[in-house]
This record gives sequence, structure tokens and C-alpha cells, in this order.
Amino acid sequence: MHNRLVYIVALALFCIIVLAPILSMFLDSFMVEGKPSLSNYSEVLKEKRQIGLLVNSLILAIGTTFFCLLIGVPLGFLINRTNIHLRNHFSYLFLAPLVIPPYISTIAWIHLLGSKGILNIYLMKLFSVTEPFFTIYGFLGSIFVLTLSYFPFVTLLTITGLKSFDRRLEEAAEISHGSWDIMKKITLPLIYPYIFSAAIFVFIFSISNYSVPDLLRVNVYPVEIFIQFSAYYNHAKATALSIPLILILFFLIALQRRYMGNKSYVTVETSSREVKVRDLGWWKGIAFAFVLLIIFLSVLVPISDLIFTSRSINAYVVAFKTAHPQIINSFILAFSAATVMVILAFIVSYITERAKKVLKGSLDFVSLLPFAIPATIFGIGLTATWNTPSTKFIYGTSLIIIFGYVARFIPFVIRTIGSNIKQIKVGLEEAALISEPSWAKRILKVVAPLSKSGILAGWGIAFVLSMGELAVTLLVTPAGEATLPIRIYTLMHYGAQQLVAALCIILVCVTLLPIISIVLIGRLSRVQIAIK
Amino acid sequence: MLKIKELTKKFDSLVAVNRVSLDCKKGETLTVLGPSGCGKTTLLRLVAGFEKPDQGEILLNGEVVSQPNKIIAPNKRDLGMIFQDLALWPHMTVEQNIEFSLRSKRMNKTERKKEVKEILEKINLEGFEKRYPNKLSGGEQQRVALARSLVSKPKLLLMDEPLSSLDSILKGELIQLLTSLKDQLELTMVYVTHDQEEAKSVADRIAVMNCGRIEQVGTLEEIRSDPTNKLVKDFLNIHTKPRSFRLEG
Repeated sequence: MHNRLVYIVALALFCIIVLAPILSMFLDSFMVEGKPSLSNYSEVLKEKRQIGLLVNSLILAIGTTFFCLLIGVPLGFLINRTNIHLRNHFSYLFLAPLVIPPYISTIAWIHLLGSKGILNIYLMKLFSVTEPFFTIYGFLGSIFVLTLSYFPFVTLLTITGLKSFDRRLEEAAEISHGSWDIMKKITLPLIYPYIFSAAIFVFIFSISNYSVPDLLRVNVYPVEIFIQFSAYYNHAKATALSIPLILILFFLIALQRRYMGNKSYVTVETSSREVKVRDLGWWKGIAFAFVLLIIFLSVLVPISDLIFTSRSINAYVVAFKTAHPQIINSFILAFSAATVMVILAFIVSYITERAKKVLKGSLDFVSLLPFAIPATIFGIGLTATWNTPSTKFIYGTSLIIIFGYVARFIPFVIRTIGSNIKQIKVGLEEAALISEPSWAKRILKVVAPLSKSGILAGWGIAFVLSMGELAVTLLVTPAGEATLPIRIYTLMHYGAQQLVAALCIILVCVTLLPIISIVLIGRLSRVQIAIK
Repeated sequence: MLKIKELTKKFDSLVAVNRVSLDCKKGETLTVLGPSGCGKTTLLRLVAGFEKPDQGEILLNGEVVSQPNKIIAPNKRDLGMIFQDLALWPHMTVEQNIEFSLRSKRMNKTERKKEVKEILEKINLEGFEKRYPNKLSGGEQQRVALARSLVSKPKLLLMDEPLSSLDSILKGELIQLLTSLKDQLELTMVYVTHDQEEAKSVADRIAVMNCGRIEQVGTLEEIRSDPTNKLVKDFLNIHTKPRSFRLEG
């Protein structure tokens, strides 16, 4: 096999799937009735709502980022650096909230703390008042749910940062300083780029999240864009509307690249740098309670509420009967999308890593672009690109959903696999070149096995995210091809509580299935997955 | 000055340091020489206070600093250390690296600046204050590490293969610098290396270490005149008769 051909095919696919929707959506926003015009923008900018939307979006994103840091960073320190109870278990349990899509925990929290939420009704009876003290609706509730969904990113990056440097850097400081000074002046500054990156990611996720503010009735950009698109079918205007948001995200990504440079986001290497585990002493109980509370609120409460709401085994039987096409469909789509992403990401990051400087920089940046495009906008871009008579075989079939998943989530996979490939020295490949003339065989026998852990982790991330994807799918799903998240979302509006809860639990279980198998495979082959 | 008594340290089943006893007098340079993996770095880390011994004790100036159930923190031991890969803090400039290692908190800003300046002069690093470690050459980084370890004027300096990454010319220069500083500052040094030439050129006494044990301690002449076993002989390249070489084949 010729390597050039593979490169070209992979890059072409990447451009078609990821870049085309972004470009066409941009171009479309400058067109009015087939002629180039700026009127979409001037119209949008005239509206006073813009400022309100911007402020709302910023409040939501800044609030979520703040609380994610407040929880995530200490959690990372506790898990990685202290002798907290159940340390080994917490080191993967903290990732559990990532398997529960934000709208699923929102559904659970509405059930508990909505205006007629069971917890609120109970509290109202208890204190004999007619109005609930607190409802999950509004900013506070949205920030609360989003924080509980996204803090694991901060913890993950904090731990990666803590593992990234040599312990001697801290020991060198121990010669002259006590542990508090070392933490302040050495450890924290060393992991600052990681914390900063985590903050930017959380900011991006929360500012472009559609489902949570939609369910909790907060008017932010993604919600407004969605309305513009689905109610008025005006995608040029919807795109123009989102430009301030996209500009903010672009700026943040550039900033993140500057600070983080080429540092890897997950440690995929197996070499274990021993860290000094500190004795928490008197704080041990409090720290343990803190971590338990976080796990309790982010995982146990939503899951047990959903199990409780589904009430009987019968609900699951009904759920399977009515929704098994969607369950199977979702699984197949997420599975294929994750596999496509891993193959594409592997080749793209391989090219990026081995390419010359100019190409390297631009590929690197381009591969991050999808981070800057809110999911709803991506959906619009996909429609604009593929909703043509000649591309019905894509737009009218499940392929469009796979395209959507790939376009949205491939940056994660590229980052994960790329950081792994970066560690494979060119020399290893050159050594293989001496005896193995076939490029494909060298890749399959040397590079791929060495990046196995990155590939597995990347696949897992891609699968989990795709299984839960809602915003893009809502916009592009062809008739009759619904996924499980869509089914849940629509049923929710009909008030089928019991069924919705059962489907949510099924979604979480189906998502967990391959992840558990990856972890088991990883254990068997002694590959340490990024998570640990 | 430094007294090590029957010190043992195990990692799981591996005995890294096995009943080691050593003395180091004030102003003396003791070199611990041994192959990689012989436990010499662990020994040094025990002296610094990074590791807790399983048996035995370490005394500094007559005071017990390490015992299996009692350990005094490294920053309370009045020592300096140079790490194998230097461990310069990448986020700090040369000046900040050195100033942060200044132990005394009672000094004010100008006094601290003065101390930093003084040590930079001694080590010929003037003009490098504002640079970051990754912008320095190997030899310069080495000198920053030296300055950092000496700025607090410790009485004991621990060195873990400090010159292993340098070429032989730079090595020579730094060994000279080290010897002159040692006299100026009345330093006691424990110098760990696997390089016998290095060991010979800096040491007052040499301790040959292998598999966690000390095989022999003494001055170079003492060891040379009466090596206890073949390993010591091989390692210090001591041969009574001139070696005869023969080309194979």
C-alpha cells in the first residue's frame, strides 16, 4: 500500500467530514437569496437580544467553570497526592459522571427539584409552605448540573499535570521549604497550564451546551440558535447569530494552544513515576466526606432517582419493546463513528507528528477547530453541506449522524492518540525500515501496537460522547433513524416519566458496556488506560 | 559531621541499602562509587531525608535525623543537594531558582538579592539572572544547580551523579570550580558517581558500593594498595601487573 494514497484519502475524508460543514455554514451566512450580502449580520447585530444572550451565556459558562475548578482541582490533588480512603477506587470513579450525559442528570434533577419535584413537594409539606425554596430551573440549577457533569475534565487534567513532571522538582524544593510553600510555588505553577486548559474546555462545553439550558429554561446562544433554525428554518441567520460566540471560542482555543503547547492531555505512558503520598491526618475524614458528596451528587442521586422513577422491571420491558430499534441504532452508530474516528485520528495525528513544521502547525490547529463550533451550529453546517439532491445517500441516511459524531468529537480522539504517537521516536520506525520495506506493515507492527493505549482510550472517549450526543443529532436525524437520546428527549416532552427514566438507565448501561470491556481488555494485556 | 549506622532500606523484596555504615568528617569529600543500581542514589536520598530507613540511623552533627520511626524533614537538615538531572524549576528564572532555595525567611528582599548576587558571582553566572533554564547550555544549567544548592550556605552538600551529562572538558572545569568552592565554603560533600575518574579526582575518601553493601572505604592510595576483592579492583581499574592486550582472531 502506498503511504501517500492513505494520507490523501484520510486528509480528504477529514476535510469533507469536519471542515466542509464549518466552511459552508460560514459562506451561507454571507448569502441572502443567492446573492452575497452582509444583511444577516447587520440584522442580527441590530437586535438588542444579542447583549442579553451574550451575558446569559457568559454567566452560565463562567459560573460552571468556576465551580468545576473549585471541585475538580482539589479532587485531583486528593486522589493523586494523598492517602485518602479508597484512593485506588476514586482514581477511576471520578470519571463516572462522564458516562451520564448532562441532559440525563437534568431529567433526574427536574424530577427531584422541579416546581413539582418530589423532593420539593416533600419539603413544602414538611415546612407547610406553598412555594418551593429552590427549583432547579434557571441559572443556579443549570450551573449546578453542568458543574456536576464537567468537573471530571478538570480532575483528569489536574491528575495528568501532577503526573507529568519529575518528582525531583518537588524534592529539590523540599531541601529548603515546607510542603505548603512547595505546593504554592512549585507544584501549582507547574500544573497551571493543565488547569488553564481544563478551564477553557469546561468553558467551551458549557457555553455551547444546548440540552441543559433548554430543559432548565435559560436563554443562551445554543438555545436561541436552535429556535432560529428549527422554528424559522433560517440557517443563515442562525449562523450569523452565533458569530460572537464562535469568536470567543476561537480566541480561547488560540489562548489554550499558547499555554498548553504540545503537552499531552492524558498520560498514556505506563512508566509510573512514584509520587509522594501525603498523610491527610486529621483532615482525612473531611476529605473523604467531600469526595463522597461529589460522587453522591453527580452519580448516585441522578442514577438512583432514575431507577426509582422507572419503578418496575416492567418499565424496562416496555422500554425495550418500544425503543429497541433506537437502542440498537444508537449502539451501531456510536460504535461505527468511534471506529472511524480512531482510524482517521490515527492517520491524521501520524501525519501531524511526522510532517514538516508548517504543515504540522496548521494541521494541529485545524484539528482543534471543531471545539470552536457549538454543536447546534455544526448541525446547521451539516444540513447546509449535505442537504442537496445529489447527496441524499448521506443526508437521508444514518451516514449523516456518523458524520455529525465524527465532526464534533474527533478533536478529542486526535489529542489522545496524538499525545501517544508523539512519544514514539522516529528511530523506532527507522529501525523497522531496515527489515520491513512495506510502510503499512511497519505502521501496523510498530507504531499501532505502541500507541495501543492511546487508541483504546480514544475509542472509549469517542464512543461515550457519541452515545450521548444530542444537539447535532436533533438537527440532522433523517426521519425514522432516531437515536436513543432523541427518543428520550422527545418522550420527555410528552411526560412519559417512567419510560424516560428506564430509557435513561438503558442508555447509561449500553454506554458502559464497551467501556467496561476496554478496561478488562486493558487489564488483561496490562495496558494502562489513560484513566489510571 | 555525618554518621551513618547500620542503615537498611528495602523496596518490597529488593534490599537497596544493606546495613551500611559510613562516616564523613567535616570538610571531607566522600565519594560513593558503584555500578548503576547498586543503591548509591537511595543512600543519598536517605541522607537527604526523602526516604525513611527500615533499620539503622543517620546522625548529622551528632543529632539523630533519620530513624525507622523518626524522620526530620529535608528542609530542617541544613544541607544542599544536586540532583542527577538537576531538577531546575522550569517555570522560574535562574534568579528565582536560586532565590527560592534561600532557606532563611528572616531576610528581607535586599538581603536576599545580595545573597543571590554573591553566589552568582562565585559561580560565574552573572548576566544570566533573567534567563529560564531551558535557554541555558548543559554546563550553565549545571552551575545554576550548584548555585541553587549552595545559596543557603549549607554545611553538607549531597551530589547525585552531578556531572554525568557533561562532556569531559566541561567536567574538568566544573570539578575545578567545585574544589575551589569547597575550600572557600568549608563544605563537606557526599558525591555519588559511577565514573571512577570523577571519583578519583574529587574524593578525599572513596566508598565502593555494590548490591546495597559497602565493599571498601578508604583513600585512593589505601584502596589501591590493598583492595579487598576483585570487584573493587575491577571497578577502580587497579591492576598490579600491566595488562597485556591481544587482538582476537
